[in-house]
Amino acid sequence: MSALATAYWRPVYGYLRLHWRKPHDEAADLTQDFFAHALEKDLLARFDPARARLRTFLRACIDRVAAEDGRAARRLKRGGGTAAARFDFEAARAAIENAAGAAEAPDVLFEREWARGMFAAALERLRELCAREGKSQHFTLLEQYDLGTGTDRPSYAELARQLGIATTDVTNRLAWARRKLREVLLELLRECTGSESEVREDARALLGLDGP
Amino acid sequence: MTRLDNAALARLRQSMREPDLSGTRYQLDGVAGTGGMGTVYVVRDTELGRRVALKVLDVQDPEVEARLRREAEVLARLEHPGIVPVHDVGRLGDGRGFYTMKLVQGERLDRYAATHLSLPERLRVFLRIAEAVAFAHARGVLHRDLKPQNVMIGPFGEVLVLDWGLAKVLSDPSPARPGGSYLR
Repeated sequence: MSALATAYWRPVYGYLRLHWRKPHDEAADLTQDFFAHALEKDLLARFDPARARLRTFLRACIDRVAAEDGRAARRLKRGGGTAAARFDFEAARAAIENAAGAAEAPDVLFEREWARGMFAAALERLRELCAREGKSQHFTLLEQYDLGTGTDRPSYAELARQLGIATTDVTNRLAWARRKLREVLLELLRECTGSESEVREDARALLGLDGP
Repeated sequence: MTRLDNAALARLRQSMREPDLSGTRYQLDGVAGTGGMGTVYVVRDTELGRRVALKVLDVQDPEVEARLRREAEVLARLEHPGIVPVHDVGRLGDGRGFYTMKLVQGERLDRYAATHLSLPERLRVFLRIAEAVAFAHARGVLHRDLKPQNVMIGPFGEVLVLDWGLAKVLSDPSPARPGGSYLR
């Protein structure tokens, strides 16, 4: 459930904002409530990968939760879910509101936020792995080359100069970090999906191989 | 938690799609095309100083990998001027299966035919395709996906039949015989 919540809280929050037109506070509350409910009721036990993809199943569950009248009031009385500290709703708010301004379809947003959540969770795992294995520089290279905010990437030679290593080291360490990130992503997908065939389908979607 | 803007997400997705060529003799030059089974990249073979095409699975999948491997093996047994030659087969550092083949640069037949309308030219291309397919049949190989999109016309007019991913190898091919048929 932890991997599921990490990967899906943003798309769930965004979907509630765009599809259900929930205001920020209510969508944040409902998101927490949804994961608390999923944990409490062992929602995943009801998921049948032969019938639908996990994302489709989750969207149907969210629709049910959001459609229930009076639920928000009951939730507020209980004091909300338990995951508030882990979900940074304020950080997600601007991105979702920008998407709303661009009139983006809720299902497109759901897919993209799911991908963003998966990559963000995988990057955290990779960062921890690199720290444990004394390879923090490998992660730094990935951050500087692949995660930089500017449009121009630094060259391998520039990175080598900055870090005082050979250009071939940049090539090899970056390749290692990417290889590990790919492994971690697939590992996360396996934790969040029901079958190997769904892992492969989701991997294609995650890598942007199935259209926009 | 790492913040990922849209540009960083797009870059990461691209990085994860690209083949892991570390530890190989190849360097990435670009993308040649995409298909159902995987993507064909243009790579530089640093040992021989030439560009070749590298076909790699997008996602690890034992069933699809077996098809990719079979395609490479089919190509390896079909040495013919009208069939693209395979150079190498293996597995990349990221675990994905791949093979390399001659880089065919030219125009797909469906596009070529739209601008080369003369009957003699069409007949010439048709005969080259028929020769390549007859050669494959004589070696017990059925292409099973023959269409203009899978035929390439090179800059010197050479005709190459591509994409043997659905090919079937007959278990007991008859020897080559003019007029013989493998249609089933």
